[in-house]
Amino acid sequence: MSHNMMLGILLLSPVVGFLFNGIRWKSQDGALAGTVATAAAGVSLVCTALLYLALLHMPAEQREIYVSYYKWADVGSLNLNVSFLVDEISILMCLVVTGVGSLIHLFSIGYMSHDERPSRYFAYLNLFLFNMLLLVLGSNLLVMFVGWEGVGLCSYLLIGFWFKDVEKANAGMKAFVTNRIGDAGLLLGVFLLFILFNSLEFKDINAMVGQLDSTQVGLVTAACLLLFIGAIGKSAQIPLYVWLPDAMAGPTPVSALIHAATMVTAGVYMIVRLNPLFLMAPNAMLVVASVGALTVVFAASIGLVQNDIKKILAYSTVSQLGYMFLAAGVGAFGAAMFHLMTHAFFKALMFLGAGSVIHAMHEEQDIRKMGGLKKYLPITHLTFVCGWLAIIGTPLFSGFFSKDEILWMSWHSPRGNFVFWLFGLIGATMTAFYMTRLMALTFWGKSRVPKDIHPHESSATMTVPLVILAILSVVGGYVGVPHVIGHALHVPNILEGWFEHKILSIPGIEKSSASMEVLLMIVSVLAAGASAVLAYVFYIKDPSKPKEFAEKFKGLYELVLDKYRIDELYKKYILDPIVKMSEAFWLHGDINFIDRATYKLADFVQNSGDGAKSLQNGNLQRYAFYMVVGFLVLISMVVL
Amino acid sequence: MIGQHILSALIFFPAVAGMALFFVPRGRVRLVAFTLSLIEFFLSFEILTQFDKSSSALQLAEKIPWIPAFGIEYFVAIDGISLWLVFLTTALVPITILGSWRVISNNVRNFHVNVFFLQFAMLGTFLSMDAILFYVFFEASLIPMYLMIGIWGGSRRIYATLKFFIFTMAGSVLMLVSIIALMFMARDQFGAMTSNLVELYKLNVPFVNSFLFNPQNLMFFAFSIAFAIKVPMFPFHTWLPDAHVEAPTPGSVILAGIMLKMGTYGFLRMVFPLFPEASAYWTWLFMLLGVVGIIYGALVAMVQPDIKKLVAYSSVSHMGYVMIGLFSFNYYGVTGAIYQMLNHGVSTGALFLLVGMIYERTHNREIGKYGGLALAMPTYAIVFLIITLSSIAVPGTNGFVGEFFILMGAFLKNRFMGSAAVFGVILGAVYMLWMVKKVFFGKPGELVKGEEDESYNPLLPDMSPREFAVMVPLLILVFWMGLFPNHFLSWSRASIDNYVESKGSYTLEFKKQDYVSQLRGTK
Repeated sequence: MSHNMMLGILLLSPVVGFLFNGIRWKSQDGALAGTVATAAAGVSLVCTALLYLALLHMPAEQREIYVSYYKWADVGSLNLNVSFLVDEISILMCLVVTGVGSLIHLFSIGYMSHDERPSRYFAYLNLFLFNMLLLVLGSNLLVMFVGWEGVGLCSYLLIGFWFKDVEKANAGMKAFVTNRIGDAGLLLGVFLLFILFNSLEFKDINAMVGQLDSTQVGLVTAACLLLFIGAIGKSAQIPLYVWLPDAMAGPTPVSALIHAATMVTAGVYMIVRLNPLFLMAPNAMLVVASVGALTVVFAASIGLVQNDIKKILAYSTVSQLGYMFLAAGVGAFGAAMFHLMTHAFFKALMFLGAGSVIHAMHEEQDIRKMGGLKKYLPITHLTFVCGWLAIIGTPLFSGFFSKDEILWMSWHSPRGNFVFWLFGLIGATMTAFYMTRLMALTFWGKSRVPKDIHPHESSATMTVPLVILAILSVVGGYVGVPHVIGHALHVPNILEGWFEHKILSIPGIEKSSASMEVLLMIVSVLAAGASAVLAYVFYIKDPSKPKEFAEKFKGLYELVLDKYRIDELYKKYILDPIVKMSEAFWLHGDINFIDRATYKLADFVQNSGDGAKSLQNGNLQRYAFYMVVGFLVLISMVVL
Repeated sequence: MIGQHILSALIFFPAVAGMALFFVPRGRVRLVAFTLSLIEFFLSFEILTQFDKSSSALQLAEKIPWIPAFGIEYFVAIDGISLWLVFLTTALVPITILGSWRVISNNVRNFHVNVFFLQFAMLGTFLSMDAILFYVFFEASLIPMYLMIGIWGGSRRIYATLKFFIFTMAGSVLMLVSIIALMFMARDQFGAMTSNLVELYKLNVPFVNSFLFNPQNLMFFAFSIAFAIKVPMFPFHTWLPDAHVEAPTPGSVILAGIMLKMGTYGFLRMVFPLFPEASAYWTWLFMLLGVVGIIYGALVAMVQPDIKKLVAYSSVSHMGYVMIGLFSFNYYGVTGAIYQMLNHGVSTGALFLLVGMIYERTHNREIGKYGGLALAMPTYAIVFLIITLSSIAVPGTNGFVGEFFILMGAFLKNRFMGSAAVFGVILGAVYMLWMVKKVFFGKPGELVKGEEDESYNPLLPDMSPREFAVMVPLLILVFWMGLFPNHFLSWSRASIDNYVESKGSYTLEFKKQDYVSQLRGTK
């Protein structure tokens, strides 16, 4: 089978699934809908794997499959094709998307088995997958942008899936609009890139970056920053992160797929895709890294005190995405992709685990009402433990390798510095704390489950994906074993070799100093370990401690619990004034001013008409008078 | 026979159809009208078979002297700029007739006669290549629309029609004066009066940079104000919300879908080629007004309590995009603007039809009284959402193509204006989705809920097959135009390229072999 066709099937299989379920959207047959949708995702996964093998057999320097299907538009000097690029970067992302995606489709069959509108749900899910594939595989910024907004649309539809609850509809809208703010920036970035390169193809842009002269660095920086605004929106970084926690209103598998594993990582992916461009703009990279580092700590701190299991995971996601941007910002694009991948495994796992818990608890999400669930949900618990160990960076679990590479690079890279490393370390410490807290309150200790709820383990379609993801969370890190460890064991860093030709190395980077790298590794493991132990003591051994702390620092505690009241701030200083202004525009601008002015004009015309009217009122004497006056005027003109 | 006179046939067929309706039995009027409008639509495909898309010349031209003493001709022709607008006009009319099947219950015959005369005038406007002929058609379109709102409109219809008529009339009178001035100028420069646009393009209209009241400036503004009112461009837009609110559904569809484009088309066909220096000189002003219109329209739309008024204000915002695209004077802006005119016709036309459907059911358009409508009318909700997505320019739909190229063109022309216009993209999503949320999501509102729990107002059945059939062609267009824009743009490309590349010295040629009418005796 030709690459052309394979890629076609890969892309269109979810479309077929979408159309199948979309056309019979009223059907209540969840099993059929789910099976078709999962099969569609599975076909994509198989095609991705085949394409991966095809790439593997190509010589390393030319690992690239470029397929153009049709001409989209041809305007001026801009020739836009619907074309796709499969290379080292996109295939890795594609494997994550279709792999994790298929598992989540499978999980959804069980999770949505009691829902009233399963066909619609699976149609949206397939549509999402298609758009995500467009985003990942598009060979130019246009196709990427189509996918980029497409996933945002599906996110909107799925967050507000249970729209009867107006809060959920609100959350969907908030996600869409916040993303739109980012998209507006992204769009301007795309235009700037067109001005710079006269092309929107990634290949052209990355190839031509080197030929730019130094006077254009300013424009490149501007373009990178504008693109980054798009990334901030999509990947929920400060200050546009506010939509992601609310997005948890959607069904939990959606949170796992869209709001943890795939869509939210699109911003990171885009930056990696354009890494030669970003390397040209050190200032833009500094901004990327700073925003990432700040978000790591900020979001993790909110996660420390939340009580909704999904909200904790949501803030954790925001924080972990911050790591990826930190990595990309210091030039460690490979590490960013690495963490993107491991995070997709363990975070999808934990979200699905949370879904299993919520399913068992009859839609209860408050961890204060859980506890001791280990007994009822053994598989969920065991797999969750794998995710927990991975995210807090337990040595030899996947998260350990990727996170430590980021921490090391944020110190070692010429674009990194001590502060970035410190933020990363604080973030890791907090992560260990809130994740342990979540484990303790949900699965361990005494049960606080209300009497009328009888938790039970989920069905096989739900536990099988959990087990697979758990295995991936454990072993997924071995593709990127750092050299300090790998060297002794003769394990190569597979991922680094894979990206060799697509990701440029940071200019001026020195050879790693092994002792330093090991030292930092030990520091971070110890800090995280201590923090995890502290959380265990707090929530299992001595449950009164957290309350004491909360009492002691009441103001601070409530501020963090209220998420620093950022939403309220936005509402008060941005949203409300805009609505007030709009009303003023309408009532005063349109009705009181423009309309009044036109009435005045009409009155003036009418009045002047009235004035002129009296000249011809039919009074003969007056006409005679006018004639005499006119005659006199004429005479005087002639005489004078 | 028709082959050589296809444009005249297209223009006059609706007029004949309108007359023919007087002889149709009362009960059959709707069906006959619908059939005739479909014939007209299929007739327009004859253009595609004869149109040469590689040429930027005026094609299928027909030219007969009309008032020879003043050089006024019946001169109609088509090129890549007007091509799709003609299709928009012939396609929207049958959809409108089918969509108004139940809305119009009194004076059915006269109503359809009106629709056909409107179509006649609009096609004439898009196809005229003679300034006076253009003016006649441009003005003639006012009358049927005036009657449509005045007779079949809502409770404040008299106020609305008067406002509509006086606003647009006031503008076009200025235009008439300028056209006459141009004709005299032609007499001075060419030795004979003419209102042939191709000839007038060659005029040298005096432009003095430092002097505000120079002839070109004055005429530029006379034309621009006429068209800006029609578009409508901020701050001349206040007639539009009133007209829309009072107009019956078909009136709104035609008004927003087609008539507004006569304004933007006027800029393309008349203002820029006739007054190139003044157009370039005043670009900043129109770009600014366009951007203000985009944002102002969107903001005001956001706080409207009435769905129809919201859609009307969204038109102000969308037409602002078209204006900045036109005034970018580059490939991207002009292409985007032309595409956006079609998009707006499709998506806003569809929105008005959809709003009309629930108005028919409840006779209420207050957003706050709905809620949870997606539960009562699920099919309707899906269709509405798709059209909304097209209106807010989500990629994959037609709206995206237009907005993408317009914003790109505007950004290339002026970074600041382009950046400011991008805010419209955000606000567009806000007001449309806000409305969608309030109308369709949440718990059933006052008008939606039924007597008992879990039941809905019996007045709100889901879409009927007829209503669905009205929307299907529009839905197909939304995706077709969004996924394969090249199918449409490739027909216009040659004309747009010629247009953009010949700044200041725009000329149009027309093909000799099409020039059949001229051979018939007249010199």
